[in-house]
Amino acid sequence: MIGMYYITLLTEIGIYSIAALGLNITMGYAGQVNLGQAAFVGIGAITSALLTLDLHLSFWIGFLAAGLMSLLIGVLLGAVSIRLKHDFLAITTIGFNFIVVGVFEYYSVFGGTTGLIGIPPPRILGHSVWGFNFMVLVYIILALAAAGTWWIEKSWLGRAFQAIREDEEAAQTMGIDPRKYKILAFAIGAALAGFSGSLLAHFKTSITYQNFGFDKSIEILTMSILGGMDSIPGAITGAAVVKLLPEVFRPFVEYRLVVYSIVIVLVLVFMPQGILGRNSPLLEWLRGGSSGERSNP
Amino acid sequence: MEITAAFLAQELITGLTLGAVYIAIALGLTIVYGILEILHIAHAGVYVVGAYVGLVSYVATHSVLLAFLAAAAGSALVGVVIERLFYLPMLDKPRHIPLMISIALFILIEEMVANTAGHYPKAFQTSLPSSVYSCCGVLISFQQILLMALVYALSLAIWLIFEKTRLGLASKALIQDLEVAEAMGIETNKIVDLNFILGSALAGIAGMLVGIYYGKISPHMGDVVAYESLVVIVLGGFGSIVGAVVGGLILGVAEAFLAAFFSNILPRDAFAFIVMIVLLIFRPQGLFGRAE
Repeated sequence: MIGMYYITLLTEIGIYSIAALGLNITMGYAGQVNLGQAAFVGIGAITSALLTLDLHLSFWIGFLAAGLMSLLIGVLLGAVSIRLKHDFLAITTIGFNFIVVGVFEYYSVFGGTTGLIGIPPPRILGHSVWGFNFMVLVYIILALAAAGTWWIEKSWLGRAFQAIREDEEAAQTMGIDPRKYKILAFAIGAALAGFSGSLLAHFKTSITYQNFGFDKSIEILTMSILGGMDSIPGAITGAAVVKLLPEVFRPFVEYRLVVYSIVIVLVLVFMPQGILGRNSPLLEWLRGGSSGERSNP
Repeated sequence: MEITAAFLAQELITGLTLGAVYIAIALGLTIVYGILEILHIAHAGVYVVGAYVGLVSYVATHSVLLAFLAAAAGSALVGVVIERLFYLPMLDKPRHIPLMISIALFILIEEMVANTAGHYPKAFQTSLPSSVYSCCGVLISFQQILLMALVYALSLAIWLIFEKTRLGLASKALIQDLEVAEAMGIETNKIVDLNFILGSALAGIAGMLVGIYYGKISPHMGDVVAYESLVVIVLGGFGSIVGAVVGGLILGVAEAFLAAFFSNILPRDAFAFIVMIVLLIFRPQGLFGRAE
């Protein structure tokens, strides 16, 4: 069997893939900037942790409640966002992240500075799920999330998201209410983050406010952008790259962040559409690179 | 806690000093945003570079003035390199791309500074007087007076540059319509360069000023200001110099008082963002921005 080190790494890749998928919906499909995705992960994680720790409810209830709670707060942020233009929205979502983390840090109900510890692992048929089995659980949920995202992409909803991303006024003349769909895009993206947060809490069994800071939002955003914001396999690839990079560079631990940020900058400069995004050089090459014309996005 | 007039006045001075720090950083950010409409998070990295160049130059020359000039020059160079290499080529990309690049550059600059100069804070002691003046129970230090005087003088100078000189006029033309400005014979790249040089030099001076004021600098001194200075330019309505000054003052004073009375409710940066979001709900274009 594979060792615990790889199980942990693979589990985290799966968990963060779900949050990155959510960001793909909000930002990639609907074009709504969200720089506070980690806050929604945190809201889900703490909801799930509190329900299982304090109320002794099962993981499954905590898991569903985590998604629901993040969804509701996503609706709130979405409602604020419909009044804001691009850069104001970007900064508001940064602020949202700082506020949420501040609340977690200052109120001991949410863990305070020490965090929440002893979060129980899920139980299936009377058995605790951890290690390899937890990893399998994460990938089953990731598969469901990916299927749901794929369904959204292909459905009327996905078309509506795309319409408000491309041209809000044109969408409106076609009877698509941008406000409704922007809120919906935030809500769905946040719910996925909430689910991933619940998994993270029960996997790590202890969480603190530092797990959900703005730097984590940047990490999730990097996953989504690196992979390609309009690609479902992209979100998973992005999560894998972002989680594996620091491991690969472990020998140069002092320069880890230096290398990490250089890689991000290089990818963004030379491949802004992401590794697997539409028109990405890699996809063109895989298709045989037959077409001479390279359309710029 | 007993609330006296002296206590309130003391908090006001703290707030005005803090406001001056925010203004010093937000001025450069405002100039840069005004010209390219990029959220230049790496500006906080440029500010850190200024603080370190300032310290190294001061240790080498023992002249505060030369150190300020070196800080300004070093930061201006970093700023203009970022603009040329990473921002100008990215203008036609979706706007979250330059934003992400800027955040990654900020991390990169901080880490490079930390790896060359050490992760721990370094003392920044100068020969400037460290006297503290007292009046009616209110204390104000020479450092605070220097910080405020310099920042307000620089704000005025920047305002004059943008209102009264050809650079200001050309910048305004460029902000209105880049292609038309180019057609009118304005060397747009040069104007953008000059704006970045000016904005980044200000950040460098701000970094060194803050270092002198707190008596120390650290590679992570930009962490909080990176995002709080965004609050300032949002309050000011993006790209307005008067707005940045007023926004910085409001944020500084509001933070000082909120921290004095409600410090156990939420951290300071969270307060700043709550003030901003509440304001944005009622005035989505910021305090001084024009409604579209």
